[in-house]
Amino acid sequence: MLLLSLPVAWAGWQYIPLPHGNSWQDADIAMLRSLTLSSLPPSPESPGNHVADNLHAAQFGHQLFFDPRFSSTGTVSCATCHQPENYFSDQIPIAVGVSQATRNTMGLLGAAYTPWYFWDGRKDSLWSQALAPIENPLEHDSSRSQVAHLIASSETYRSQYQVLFGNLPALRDEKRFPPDATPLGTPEQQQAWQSMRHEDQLTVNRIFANTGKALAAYQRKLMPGTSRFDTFVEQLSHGQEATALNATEQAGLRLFLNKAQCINCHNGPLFTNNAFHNTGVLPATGTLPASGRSEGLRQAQNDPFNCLGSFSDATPEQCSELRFARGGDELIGAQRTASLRNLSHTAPYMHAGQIGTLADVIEHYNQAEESIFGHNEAKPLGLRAIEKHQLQAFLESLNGEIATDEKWLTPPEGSL
Amino acid sequence: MYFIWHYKKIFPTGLGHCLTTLFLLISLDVMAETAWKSQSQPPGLTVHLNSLQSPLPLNQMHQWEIHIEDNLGNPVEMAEITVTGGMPEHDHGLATAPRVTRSIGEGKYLLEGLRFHMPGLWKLDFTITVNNQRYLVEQVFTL
Repeated sequence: MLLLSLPVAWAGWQYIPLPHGNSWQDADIAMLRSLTLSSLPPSPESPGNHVADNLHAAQFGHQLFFDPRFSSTGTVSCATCHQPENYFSDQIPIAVGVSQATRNTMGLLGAAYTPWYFWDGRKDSLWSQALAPIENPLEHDSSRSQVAHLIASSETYRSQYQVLFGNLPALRDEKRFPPDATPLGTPEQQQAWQSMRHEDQLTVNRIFANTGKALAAYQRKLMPGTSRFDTFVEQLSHGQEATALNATEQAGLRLFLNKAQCINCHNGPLFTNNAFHNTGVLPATGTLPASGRSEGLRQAQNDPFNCLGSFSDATPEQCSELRFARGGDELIGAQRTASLRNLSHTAPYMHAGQIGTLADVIEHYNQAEESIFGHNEAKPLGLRAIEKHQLQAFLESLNGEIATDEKWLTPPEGSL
Repeated sequence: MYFIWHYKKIFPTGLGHCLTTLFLLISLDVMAETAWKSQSQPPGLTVHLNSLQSPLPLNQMHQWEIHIEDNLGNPVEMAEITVTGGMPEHDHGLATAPRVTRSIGEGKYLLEGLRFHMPGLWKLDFTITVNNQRYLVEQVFTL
């Protein structure tokens, strides 16, 4: 009898939902309001980019974003991986540009709100981030001098550029301005770069940086729209019957705030603290563990396109994130907390797309095994089967539309 | 104190006491969130910590003012101050590397670069060196 009753009791414990009150207290509602899009402040200023909120810059950036000529093959644009129809991600574990890259594509909705970019935070602004894929040999595989030449030789781009950033040299002298040069590329590209005079290198770097600034102005317009969760909190706040989330989803929300401890890192209206955490995610098969933020910060500090660099429009006082950033061994293997909005559209998950489904992500945090590299901050949660189901149901209520005018979501008229 | 006395004068009845109590509770609550007073180890310094943003923000870079007094209540100038800390319950340190960027006079110092990225229990450890004597101040608070 005992042998029979134990499994029955175990199954009951795993699958029978615990009763909880239907009511949400005022303190709960205040916390919930802090997670809604109505609590999202206007986009933070981007002091390093003086055209960050300039409409003409956004229009220029819109064209650049969808232009595949900024690649060695003429086939890869920003939109190749940041696909508007897929919430500016690409639904594959690891991005594919001119060849397979090394990281999962991060979505761009709400990108204006984070102080750090890439999974490892190796860039400290949206404008500077935009430059890296262009020169990455696995992504666009282009070079800063190719970018400068394309901007200078295209009548459309040239005129838009000059309105925003002033005079643009012709760059016709190929000895002074080699067509394919960068300090980060192949030996040939590096050699071409080294052959340039310092002031000509500065000219190309400035055009390259300004290209990033226009791309950032466009990407700052990409915003997530309201979800059923936001509607639910609005209903609660106005004393209405809160029907936007069902009982299972509300139970999942309570777990999110309490037992599952998701709120510790996934907080604020975009459900991310934009900080870096090692949560023991295994490396992608056949790859070494990623060094994460410990290396990312070192790169950001040494980046000539950072907030303190000569291509930034910010004063040093405006670069507090970079000036007071903390690195070190504690951040080995730490990756940036991702937003939880629109999760259903942005699978697979984690920095190399290692985890395919939300259920597996929840199980990952439920187990919280020792990290093989660095220190796992997460602790086992002890979630029951029904609780994992409830938590997933809540996370799926965070889906919504893209809250950006349709015209920005397709290639601009007259583009390639 | 004048405020409390003033309230008592206007409301000398039970209502006045209730309002006074309410006022004190509200004050203590706000004080508990953004301002602290601590004694150093070894004794010798009184340290007032005051966030310049109230309530204490989550995920936002902000500044604190550190005010140091000696046993006699005199301001302590020329102190060297370093800050470390973290979340003991999560075994991790601070998200940023805050530091004192300047003295603002009368024993007060500006601490820049604080950003608390998680709700919960935080601990800050201040090492204050004055005339080659090292003092420690520990401050624990919940965000």
